[in-house]
Amino acid sequence: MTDFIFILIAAAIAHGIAVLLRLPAIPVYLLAGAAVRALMGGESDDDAWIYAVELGLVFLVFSVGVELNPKRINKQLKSVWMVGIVQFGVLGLCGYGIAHWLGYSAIEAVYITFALSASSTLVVVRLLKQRQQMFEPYGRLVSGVLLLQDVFIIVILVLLLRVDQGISAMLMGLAQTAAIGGLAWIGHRWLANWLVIKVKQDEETLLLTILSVLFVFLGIAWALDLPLAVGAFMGGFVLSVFPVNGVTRGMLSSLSGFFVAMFFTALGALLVWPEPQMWNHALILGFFLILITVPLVTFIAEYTGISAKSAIESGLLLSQTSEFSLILVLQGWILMQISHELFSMLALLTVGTMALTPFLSHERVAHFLMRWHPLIGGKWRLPESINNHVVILGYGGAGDYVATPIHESGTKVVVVDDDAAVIRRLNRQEIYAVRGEASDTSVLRKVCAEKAQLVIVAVRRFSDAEKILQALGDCRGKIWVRVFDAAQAKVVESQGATAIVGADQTVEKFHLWLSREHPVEGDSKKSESQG
Amino acid sequence: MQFDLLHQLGWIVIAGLLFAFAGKAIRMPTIIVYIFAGLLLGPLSGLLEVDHPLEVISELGIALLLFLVGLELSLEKVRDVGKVAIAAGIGQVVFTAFFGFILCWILGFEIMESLFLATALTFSSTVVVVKLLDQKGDLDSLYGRIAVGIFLVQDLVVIVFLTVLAGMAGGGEEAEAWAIIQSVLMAFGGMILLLAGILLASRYLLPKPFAWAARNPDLIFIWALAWCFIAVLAAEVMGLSLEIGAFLAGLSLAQLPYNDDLRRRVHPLMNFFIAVFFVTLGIQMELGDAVEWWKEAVVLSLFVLIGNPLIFMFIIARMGYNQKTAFNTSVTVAQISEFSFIFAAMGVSSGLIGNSILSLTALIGVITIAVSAYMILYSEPLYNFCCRWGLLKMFRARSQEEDIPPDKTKDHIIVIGMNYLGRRIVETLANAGYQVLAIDTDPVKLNGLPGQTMIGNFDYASVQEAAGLADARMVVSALQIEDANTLIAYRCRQHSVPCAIHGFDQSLLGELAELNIDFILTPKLDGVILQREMLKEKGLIKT
Repeated sequence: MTDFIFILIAAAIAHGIAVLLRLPAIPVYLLAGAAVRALMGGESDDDAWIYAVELGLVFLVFSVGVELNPKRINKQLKSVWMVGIVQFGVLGLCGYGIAHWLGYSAIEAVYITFALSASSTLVVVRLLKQRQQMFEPYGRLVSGVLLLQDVFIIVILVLLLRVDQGISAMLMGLAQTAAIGGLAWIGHRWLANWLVIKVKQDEETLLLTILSVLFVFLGIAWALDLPLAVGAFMGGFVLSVFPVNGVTRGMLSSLSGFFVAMFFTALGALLVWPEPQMWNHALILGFFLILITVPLVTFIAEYTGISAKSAIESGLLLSQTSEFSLILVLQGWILMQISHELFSMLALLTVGTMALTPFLSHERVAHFLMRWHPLIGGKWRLPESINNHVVILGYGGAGDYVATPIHESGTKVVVVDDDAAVIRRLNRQEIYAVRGEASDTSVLRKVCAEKAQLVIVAVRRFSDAEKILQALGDCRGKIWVRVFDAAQAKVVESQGATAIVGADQTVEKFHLWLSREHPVEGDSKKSESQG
Repeated sequence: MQFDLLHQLGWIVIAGLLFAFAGKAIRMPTIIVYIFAGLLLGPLSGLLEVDHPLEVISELGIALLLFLVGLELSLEKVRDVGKVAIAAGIGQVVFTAFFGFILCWILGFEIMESLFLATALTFSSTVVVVKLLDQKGDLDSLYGRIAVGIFLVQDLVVIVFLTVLAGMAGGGEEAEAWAIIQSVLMAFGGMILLLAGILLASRYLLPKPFAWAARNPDLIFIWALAWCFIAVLAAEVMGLSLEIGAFLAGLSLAQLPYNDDLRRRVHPLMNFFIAVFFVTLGIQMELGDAVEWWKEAVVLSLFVLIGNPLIFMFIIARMGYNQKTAFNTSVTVAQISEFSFIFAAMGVSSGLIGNSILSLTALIGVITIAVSAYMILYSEPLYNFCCRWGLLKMFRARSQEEDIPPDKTKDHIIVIGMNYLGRRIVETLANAGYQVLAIDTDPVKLNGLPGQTMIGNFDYASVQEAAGLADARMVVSALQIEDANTLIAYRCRQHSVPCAIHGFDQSLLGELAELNIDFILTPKLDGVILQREMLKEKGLIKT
């Protein structure tokens, strides 16, 4: 019990530090676990740490499985597959090459390869949520890619578990995984909704039902001699159908939050201090991971239709190893396919790359990298001199309601957007459209924003709107900025521009609707008596 | 890794669920079905044995359960029932031990056996009762608070008994006697020290860090758990039970404004661990040759089931509480505790009693826990029955009501997510005279809002229940989280409550429309419409 309490206290301190330093919690958990173990020396009970790892691993993978709703990926299936496969494949190949060059054996190189290939779902999804970018096209793409990579790692776990037993055992493993996957699919389609939603259960029994799904699949995986992660993942997948996933998330979040914190902290306690040479290897691998991922993902994401800036942001966001990499190397160490030192080195690589992610994926870094983007701007189809026109910065979903009527009324319109498809469509409609970053001063100069009679700013991020206001200096009086809240409106108006607050209109409309459909009790009685 | 723990947990969870479904058909309380599941997995089939990791998980469950109880109570509420808890707790121990000893002696047991059995019959199970009160939603009621107070007093008495027994097992020499006195003094001193430490922490140490942590729901949750187990560790160091440590930790956090949210977060975690505890309890029951003692078991079980409540009813009625409160409180003590098994097991290992007494204690445990669970859950009809037959008149308790349940919120509008849109909606609706309940996970975002507020994540079924979803006039979500919004829409449809959901991105509007949402909040689109109006005014759009 005492060791268990120490793990929990270490996790609590680590989480506090992570929040304070605005870092992802996972690397700090790992370091805290290592620190506590070092402080306790030989007095600690190994079993407590191992049990925490076991339970945590199962709950971590199960909760990732619950998020694997195929419908979520359907919207961008092609892009997700392209980015996911190319990143996984190319990074894996490079990883293998580098590992080989660094002198690792074939099996060690394979572990390094796959540890580098996947990015962290927990870290990236949290960052996307914090930045409210989950539902931007690139947010959907990135979260889809992450889920796909998690599936890849699950398959790799099976193959590596059987690698010592030969090809036929590996193929058998794949077949068994497919079978358990098929079973999970049946559960997902026909059982989950009945079990969790249709059968009326109290909170306590519902929790047991959800956990029973997990343990049944763990049992199947155990019976088939597959990694437990496979069972946990498939169990999670059964419950990933809407609205079962929402109910499961609500029931499971405390439990998985607790066990996941314990998992990473306890895993940290299993690490050893690598030799100096290993540290160099970690630096080399980390360097190449970032160097390859960013341009690679940027290129493919842009190829699939994502804007340049979002493509760069996708690349930056995916530049770290995954919590699933930790599970993979943990398996390698337990099976004695890799050394304790290599396991520790790869775990520390995960600590480093995860800790770097919030800084690396900062908007400023993306802006900085945009300068080196060869294709930014595209072909210009603007007349050399244009004035008294309307500039629309950021087209989005609402652009059609503004640009087309202005254009039809005879006023020249110039649209700036970073989405190539939008630009092509507008050009077909003979509306001037420029592909580029609306907040880029050179783009603003090229569209002669200063000579325009009106500049409408409808960019996604308010920070971009602020940059535009700064860039357009003297002519702020003719700028309209669409904002979400009063605080943003205040900033815009303090600079002399006009703020359009959609939320206020919404509240007004909603209030009108509500007082008509569901009047306040007094009002309804009044209207009844009047009637 | 051998994965033994996962293997054991798998059996426990699956057996627990199957028994829970079976038990549902005959309205059997879950704790009984868990114990029966344990009996099947352990003594009857020999499939599982309890080892150290399972014991740790069971202990975690007990600690979390008592932590939850502490979170539910304010200091004032505990102070209100302090006197009755001490008087009734100690009074019952004395009376039950005395009458129990005489009864055992009459039944033909030897002096030492009678002593052990009488002591084992004295303790009631804190965990069983608190779990049942939690299931009933009565932890915060007056009788619930009195019962919890009594059980905590009894926990202290248990520590004294176990300390004395450990000393007796050691030989009972003079030096041992002094060690026993020292241990007992240490337990009481520790209790005072821990209580003072926890109260001071609650006042001076916890508020600021927890206010900071409250802005991050995951952080405050893990900090609260860590605080709970730090107190458990401190209790252990001072020779106290983990129940007392966990309860005091909960009590110290109950004084902070985030206690309700914490309670709802800890609840699912506790449900899991406590289920493991009860199944484990069943596995550990050493029934052995208990069947041979069935007559004695029935007599002693009846003593616990009827005698204990009678003793209590008498004491509590004497302390001025009304008939119903006295009855409800008394019903909670009609079972023996898991400590009774430990006590009997210690007696066996020290050679003071034979194995048969341990088996008999286990059988009494199964019977009394099972029957008292029904008595607690169905105390209302039982009370009505006793009143109808005039069975309670002899206690001469007051008859007027003293425990008036608070009014439940009804016909209100729940607004979730206090971003700008959410806050504006709350302000507008409150000004228009609607009864509004604002919910957010961040307490800072709830500051300065009119109407009622609640800290919590609406994903949780317990938050939906606490917010009165089923009785709400409408639910409005201003959240910018797709999954949460779709789930809210779904829950509203289940309860036939109209809802308005934030369609924060155009790509979501189609999906939201498919969910038959009553009103979709579209600030982006409304911004565009406003913009079109402005363009018309400027002459840039013709129609």
